[in-house]
Amino acid sequence: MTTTTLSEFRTDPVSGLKVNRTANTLVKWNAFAAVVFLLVGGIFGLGVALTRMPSVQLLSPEFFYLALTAHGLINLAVWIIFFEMAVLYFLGAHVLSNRLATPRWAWAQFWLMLVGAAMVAVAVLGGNSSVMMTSYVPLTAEPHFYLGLILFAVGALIGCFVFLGTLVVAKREKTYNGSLPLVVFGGVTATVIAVFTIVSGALILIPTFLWSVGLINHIDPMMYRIIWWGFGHSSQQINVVTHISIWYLIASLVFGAKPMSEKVSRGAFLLYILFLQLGSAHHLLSDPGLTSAWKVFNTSYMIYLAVLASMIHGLTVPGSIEVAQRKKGLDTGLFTWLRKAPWGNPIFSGMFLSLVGFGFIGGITGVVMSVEQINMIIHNTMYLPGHFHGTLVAGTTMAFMAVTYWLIPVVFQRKLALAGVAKLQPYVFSLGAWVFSIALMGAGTMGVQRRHSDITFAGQPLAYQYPEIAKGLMDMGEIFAVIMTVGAIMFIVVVLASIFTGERIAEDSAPWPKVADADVVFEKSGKKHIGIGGMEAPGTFVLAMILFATIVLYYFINFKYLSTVWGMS
Amino acid sequence: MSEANSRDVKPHAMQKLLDNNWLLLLLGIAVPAVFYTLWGLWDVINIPIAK
Repeated sequence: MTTTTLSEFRTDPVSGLKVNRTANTLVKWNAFAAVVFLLVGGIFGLGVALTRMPSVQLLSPEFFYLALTAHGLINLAVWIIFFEMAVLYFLGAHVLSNRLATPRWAWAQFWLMLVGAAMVAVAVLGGNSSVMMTSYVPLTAEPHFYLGLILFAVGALIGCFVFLGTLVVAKREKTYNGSLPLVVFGGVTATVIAVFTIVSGALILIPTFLWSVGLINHIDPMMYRIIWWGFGHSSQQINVVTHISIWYLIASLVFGAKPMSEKVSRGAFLLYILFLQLGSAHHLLSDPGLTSAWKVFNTSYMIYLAVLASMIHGLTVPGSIEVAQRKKGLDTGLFTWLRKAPWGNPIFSGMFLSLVGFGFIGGITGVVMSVEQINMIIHNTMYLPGHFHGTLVAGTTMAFMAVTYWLIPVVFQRKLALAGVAKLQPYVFSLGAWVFSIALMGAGTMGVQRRHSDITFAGQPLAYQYPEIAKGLMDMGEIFAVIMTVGAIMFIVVVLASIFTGERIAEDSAPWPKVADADVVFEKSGKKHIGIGGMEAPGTFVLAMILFATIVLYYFINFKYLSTVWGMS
Repeated sequence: MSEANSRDVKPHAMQKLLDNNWLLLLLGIAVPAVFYTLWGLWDVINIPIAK
């Protein structure tokens, strides 16, 4: 029997959602912790960027590796996973008008992750754990570095099961009918991937911790790499699924759009559950101990099923927006629906920039670099940071920022402060992230190594002279890293100003105007058809064809480049 | 409700799969565990020892 009473809920005037107060508090604290860690990790990231700039080289090599370790762990894991916990609780409780299954365990999640992150931070800042995010053995960190990571992972695992338990409660208490809403199903997909990720992390980090305290003599580096990447890469796949769920959510919030086909979108999420995690293998394409069969099966066969899923989402999200816009009267030409979209609304502009940045920069390059032959050109070069800043910064982080602008009034019950800054922020941040990613990938294609503080190799016994253009690309990339940092600071300032000084939204205030449902508007209009030539979303079809053409062209460019590297005569 | 009607509302097998979070969890762990983790470790274990 449940002890929940009506007073535990409030009706949110902004969204109309029935909000459980305990769940809301947990969403707040996880989101707030995420933003604070984004700030801390971003400061270290700026230090890394200004050191990799050949004309600046800000940090000493020792401090560079410390900063790189801190930046990688905080921005790739801590900021993003705290935010994902907030999203999962929001999806399970707020979207389903539900209570959390076990708030005490949810608090255990929060504190374990916070204590774990703090332990890792203390270890890294102590200077004896500059092992970078991958912490490949036999590099050794302090024992509390591994223990902190384990606690953080256990906290996240608890959060996943709190979410799954919350869905059980929602089903039992009939807070929804039929199948889960698509965005919540996206949350389920992210959770499934998260459980595999965290179990992989535990499988390798627990023995590594025991090794660091002397209880285990040896850890095989090749085995470590296989299992670690089941954790390291899959953790980034959680982000992909979460930000795609956010795309669907924002399309619905801003346009009253519905997915073009729920079945197809759910099928695409199922493809993610089955195949997305196999992409971890592309980190190991240069490892000699693994067979080509394993490499090719995982990266060049199975991963394409996950790529297919990404293309489906990449088509259906803008497609659903186009259909909604056309149903609301913007039914002329190919791109009127897009031209007249609310580009001044940071929730939409951030989401759409995330979609384009992820698809054209992070997505295409990720697919192409998973080809074993092409991977040989760019393995362990700056191409890799270029690629994953395209996915995780231009894609995931931008989407998380966009949805935060909507969450502030709903969750924190405050109006958005500094609206003018918020309006500009997605453009500044995306401009920085896009050019930074592309420039680093350019430098990587010329062979510039990653994980090195000085690409000039000054004073090194094995000096190597990169082309001047590569140094120029590094300089240019890092200038745009500064612009990206400015965009991130704008976001943090807007969030903190809104939370602490924004106008409070009273619980009993009048409901905010709702976005009209596109189907209802269309029905009232009396029109029978939308689109051109029988196609409901012809503009999206053209955009998808441009994406396909870009992928094909990019494949050819890379194979052409490969042919020059391996000259045959 | 007639038998014919109850057949009409019976969800498709694929829908049943998509609605079963625990089965999805099992599949989402089993597939990468077999094809990525176990197969990869098997490859490493089978590297011949140098003589």
